[in-house]
Amino acid sequence: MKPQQSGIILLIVILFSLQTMAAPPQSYSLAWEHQFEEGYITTGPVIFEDTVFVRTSGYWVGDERPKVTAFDFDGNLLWNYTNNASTQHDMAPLLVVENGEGFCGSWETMLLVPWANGDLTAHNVSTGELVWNQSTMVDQWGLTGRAIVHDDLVTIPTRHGLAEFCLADGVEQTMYQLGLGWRNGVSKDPNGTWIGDENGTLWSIQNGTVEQFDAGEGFIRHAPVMTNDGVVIHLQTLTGSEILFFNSTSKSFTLLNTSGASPGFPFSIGSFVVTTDSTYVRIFDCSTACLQVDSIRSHSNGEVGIDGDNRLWVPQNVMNGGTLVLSLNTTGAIVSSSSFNTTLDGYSTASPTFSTSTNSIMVFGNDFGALRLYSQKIDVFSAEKEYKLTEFLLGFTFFLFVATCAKFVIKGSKIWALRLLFTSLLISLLLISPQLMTILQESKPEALLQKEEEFWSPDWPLEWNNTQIVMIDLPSGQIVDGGFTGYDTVYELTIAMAEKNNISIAVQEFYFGVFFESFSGVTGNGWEFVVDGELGEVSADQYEMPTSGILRWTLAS
Amino acid sequence: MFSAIGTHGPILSPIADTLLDIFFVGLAIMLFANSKPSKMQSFFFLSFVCIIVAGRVILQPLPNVQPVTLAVFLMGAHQGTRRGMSFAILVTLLSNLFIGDGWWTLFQAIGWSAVAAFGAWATARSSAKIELDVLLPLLVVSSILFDIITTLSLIDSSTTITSFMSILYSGLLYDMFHILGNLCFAVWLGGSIQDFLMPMENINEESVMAEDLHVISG
Repeated sequence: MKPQQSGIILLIVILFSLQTMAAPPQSYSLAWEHQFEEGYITTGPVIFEDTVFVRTSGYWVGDERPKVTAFDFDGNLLWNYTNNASTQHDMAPLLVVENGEGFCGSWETMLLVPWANGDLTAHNVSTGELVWNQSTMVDQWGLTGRAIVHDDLVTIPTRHGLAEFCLADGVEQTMYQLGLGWRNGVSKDPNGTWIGDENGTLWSIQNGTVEQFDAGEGFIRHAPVMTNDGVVIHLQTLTGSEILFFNSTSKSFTLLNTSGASPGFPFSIGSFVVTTDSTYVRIFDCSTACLQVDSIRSHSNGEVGIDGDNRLWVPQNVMNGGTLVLSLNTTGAIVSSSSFNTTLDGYSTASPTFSTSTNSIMVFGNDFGALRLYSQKIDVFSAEKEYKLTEFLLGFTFFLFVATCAKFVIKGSKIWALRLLFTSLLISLLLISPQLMTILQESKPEALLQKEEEFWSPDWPLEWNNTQIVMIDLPSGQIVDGGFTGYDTVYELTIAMAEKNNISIAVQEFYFGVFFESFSGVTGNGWEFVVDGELGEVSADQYEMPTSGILRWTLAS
Repeated sequence: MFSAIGTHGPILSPIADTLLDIFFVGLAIMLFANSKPSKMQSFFFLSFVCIIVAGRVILQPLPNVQPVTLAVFLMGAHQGTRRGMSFAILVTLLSNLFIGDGWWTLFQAIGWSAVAAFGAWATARSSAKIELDVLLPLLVVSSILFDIITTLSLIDSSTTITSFMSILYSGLLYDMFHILGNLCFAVWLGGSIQDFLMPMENINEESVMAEDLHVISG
């Protein structure tokens, strides 16, 4: 083989390896779809053995009533149950309870369905037949929150508190009058039972003793998330949201971060707590104190699915949103993100559900009443295997590279050896540039650190004090806005400021980060930023914005 | 062309902008005309300008990876300082029309002109192909020279030696991209570019010889 041919083959292999690295992390293909004639699917389907259960919520108008439907994995309808007394807001998650025995007697495996008209119904999973039915108090609506099962009881949030029923016969055991609730699921830990309400109150019930803690002005519309030392809640406020940690020892709240509007359901995965809202997915490490580890831009207001590889599937509640798929490393940092898109992309708050017995089945529904089952036919493309494949290809390519270079050197073709060497070095430099930028920034000599203070302008409103302020130096003049809080990166803050001030922006995404190409159509030679006088030496999405500070965008020289 | 402003540079009025444009275009034409090119050489020269401008624009997404430094160096090396500088100015002005003009254009034009002069000086206007062993280290030096000159555009009244060193440090990664990119272009395209530039030199010599013969015979 001629040196030129060997070189070209090697380059193709290098490019193929790079292509493999960028491949999407999943390979689900559509098995079947069921379109409900009317009704939203706003709650994730439930998979039990080889059956898929899904609930639809009625529209705000019309005669269609909410129902629960069961399908097998081939898409065949097994049964359905319509609650003609329920009208709307049927969003409480379904719950499968496996057969057991307790103080009240024994029960077969059943599906528990909380309804907006206050009913809690138990169904035979095979036939849908009603096993028992209990009613709770209704105030506009009844049951909307997540129930939990412990021992032989089901604990469910009611409109005005919570109640416990025997699984065997549905007989009410206890009932607590607490605050008014909506979608406020219930949680349990050794310290008791926890629930939030529409007044921003966190309730704790331990051995019959009820305590309440004021989290602030807002709504708690999810089940509190239990951690080692306390409880995490995502309080919905009038202007956005607050992520709070309640220390169960000191019985005090700590603000972890402020965030966007309409929080979704926070949840824990290992020692990490994940929150979602209209602006970000945030990950907190709650192994000791809850500290934010990472965040990523997202618009998610409902549930999040977790697959067998512990990837997070975050439905985007926007038109054409798709699902954001995130992988975390052992420190909780987001190591990869990709988008799972289908022809049904649209508003969605229901999470995809994965079969627990096999990772090859995924079911999801959306706000348009479409239910889809996907199967992962090529198992070899699971994340771990793909990672190994990529590692193998990179290793193989490196071996091939060394071997080919050696061959060229031995054969005396210096030019081809140099071509491969420099091209590989350039590609490598491009690939590791994000890490290199960080290393260079961190290892910058102390003597070279610039701290040109950006002075507070007396023209600025006092409310901007201790907030995030953005300045954009356009040729036509400077645009300044402030009062921003809770933005983690320069990119997020800039986007928020530009949206608020109707400034058109253009960004370019590279492997090593996101760069702003233009503001108000002004391109120049690119834009650079300084934060509190310090030049940004990494991309805008990688530069952490302090909780208060001055960000200034200027045309690059 | 210079109407856009760099934050670290002066704001140019439209008149100053136009005058600067005229000055640079005039300088480029004068430098080229003084090198007494033939029509064929002029055609090749302009074609080469277009190719390199296109290359710079196309490769814009890759940070600081651009074929201009190599092309300018070789133009200086094979065609002399005047044509090299003329080439550098034209490529800078034209490519910045596409990817953004500003105060930096001035420094880029000066930087690449310096590289062309360096190429002519270091190789003594070579009439033979420059060997890679010689070309590669000279390109590394050229890249650093260009980077330092363009960094001067960031100097303003508030710049101290420390802050200038800090700016140079901040650009280290991009300098690495520039150097490595030039080395890549040199090993892949250096030979072809030199093949392209050498006939221009020969055309010049041949045409001069033909004219001389014509004069003698006439």
